[in-house]
Amino acid sequence: MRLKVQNVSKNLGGGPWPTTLLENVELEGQDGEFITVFGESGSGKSTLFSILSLLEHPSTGSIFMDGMDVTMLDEPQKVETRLENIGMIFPSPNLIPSFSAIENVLFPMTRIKRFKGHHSERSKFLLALVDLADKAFAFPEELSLEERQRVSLARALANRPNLLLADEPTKYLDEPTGQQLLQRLRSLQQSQNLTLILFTQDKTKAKSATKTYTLKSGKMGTHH
Amino acid sequence: MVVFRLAWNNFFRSRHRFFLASLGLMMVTTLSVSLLSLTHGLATQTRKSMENRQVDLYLLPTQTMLTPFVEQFGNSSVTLPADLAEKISQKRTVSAVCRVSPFTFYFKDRWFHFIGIEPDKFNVFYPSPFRLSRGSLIIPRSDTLMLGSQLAELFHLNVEYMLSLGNQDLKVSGILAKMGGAEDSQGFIPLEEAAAFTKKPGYSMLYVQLNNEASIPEVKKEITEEYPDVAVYTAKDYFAPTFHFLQRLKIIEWGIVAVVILVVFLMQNEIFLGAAEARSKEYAIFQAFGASRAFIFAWILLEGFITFLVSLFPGLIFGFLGGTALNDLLVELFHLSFPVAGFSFSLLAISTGIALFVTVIALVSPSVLMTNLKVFNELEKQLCD
Repeated sequence: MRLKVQNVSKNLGGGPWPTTLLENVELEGQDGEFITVFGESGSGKSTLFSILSLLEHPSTGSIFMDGMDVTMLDEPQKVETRLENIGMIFPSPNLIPSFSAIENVLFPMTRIKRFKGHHSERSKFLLALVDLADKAFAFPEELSLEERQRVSLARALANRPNLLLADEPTKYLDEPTGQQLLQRLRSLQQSQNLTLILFTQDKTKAKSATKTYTLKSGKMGTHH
Repeated sequence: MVVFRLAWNNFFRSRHRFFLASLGLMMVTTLSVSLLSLTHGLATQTRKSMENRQVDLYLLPTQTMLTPFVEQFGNSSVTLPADLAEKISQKRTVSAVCRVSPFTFYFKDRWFHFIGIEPDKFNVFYPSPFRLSRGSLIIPRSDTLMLGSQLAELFHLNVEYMLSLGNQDLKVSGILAKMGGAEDSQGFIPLEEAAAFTKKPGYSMLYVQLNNEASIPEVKKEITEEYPDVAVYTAKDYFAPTFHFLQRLKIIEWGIVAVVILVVFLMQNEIFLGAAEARSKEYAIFQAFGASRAFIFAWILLEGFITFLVSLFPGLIFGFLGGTALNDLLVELFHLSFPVAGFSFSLLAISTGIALFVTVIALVSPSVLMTNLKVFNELEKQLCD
């Protein structure tokens, strides 16, 4: 996905002294690119993640996805755009506890028509991609944290998005397990030619990125 | 299908919450059915009694007060003139007159006349061999003498029954009930009292049947004018205090049911709203992956509906058992035997309606509250924590 973020700001509260979470953020990405957004805790990473995921609306600015300004869309159009084009991975797996692994992966597919009639096969295929084919019918409470995060990765890929957003996906994992997950994420991104934006506090995780942005107190610094 | 799967899974995976919710609904259903079956039974029995007798006019001394559920033949020492029955039966439109004494009682669609006590302590009855029905001759006494145990056998009474007779409660021992030293050894009417009655010249009241119902107002007017000391009641008037009592009882019952509904509603609201806050992250995930508010609303409602179904059936069973238990309690405390309605479609419909009502308000309101509290609008932020 070609992505262009222009002058995006996010303020909380009204009046003369609003709290600024993001200020004139600019970002650009191309098809198949791996971008990292580095920033300390409270720098505005998660706010930017929410805005790019179309879960939150920016106060000002524009976001172009393949040339279309998604800030102009109404709520149902945003939901549709998110479902069809954006995959999300959160710091914690955020799986639906009453659904099995396969049902968690399958759910986003039921909301659009793209894979109608093939939900089950595709869910199995995606779980196999993350090496969880044998745990398709396990419930989240029966899986380890790392396995749950792998299910969430499979869910993020459910509708074959072209933009994958990962907000500190290894935050609650130990170092070796986190590294394995990142490698898996990276290899899937390359094999499926996805634009991947990884939001992280750890600069070492940004090593192989084609572009690295630094976010500090809501302001985007130089990129490399 | 997805919503159903979700609701079904949640019901069985969140046992604590749904156990409390089901318990609340079960309480409402049980209480509603218990109370409703009691008044329903009372009303049905009174109406049936009124219709089965097919008595057109009830004649009583004017001093006799009509009291709910108390037949008037035993509660007054004042009697009607001895020759009144004779005179009334000679009227052109009158087809039959039944003399009713303090020792007459109506049981299981038949009339019985209690005539006294044998010295060796046996209750003795003369059952009327027929039901009262329009056009049939009403014979106040038959010649067949029956003992208490024979009476019990006739009606297949397997346990002990208390019959209200005059100012006494008379115990009829059923065929399986344990016999004491003497049969029916409780609730005897003293021999002297029974003997004294037989010497009384008058009767407590008269039942009058007419040739046709159309002449009821005319005959009523005629008797009232001719006999100022005699109060004449139509069947409707005679049963009016009972129906008024039932009406008041129904209002009290609905009051109790309303209070319970309110308590359960608050309880459910607390459970579900508390749960809703705890579950807001779950809702947030659904919203992030494309579920609309309508989807979440349908899901919560469906969970409620499953709760409703799971609670309803035990509630109904407990309710009908509760009605019987309530009846037993009343019998034990006040020696009053209330007929309790069995499982019937109308009761089922009413109780189901109440339970459904409670379910809907208890489940819709948290969703509405959630929307009003803007919990939905803040949901997505939780996902990044």
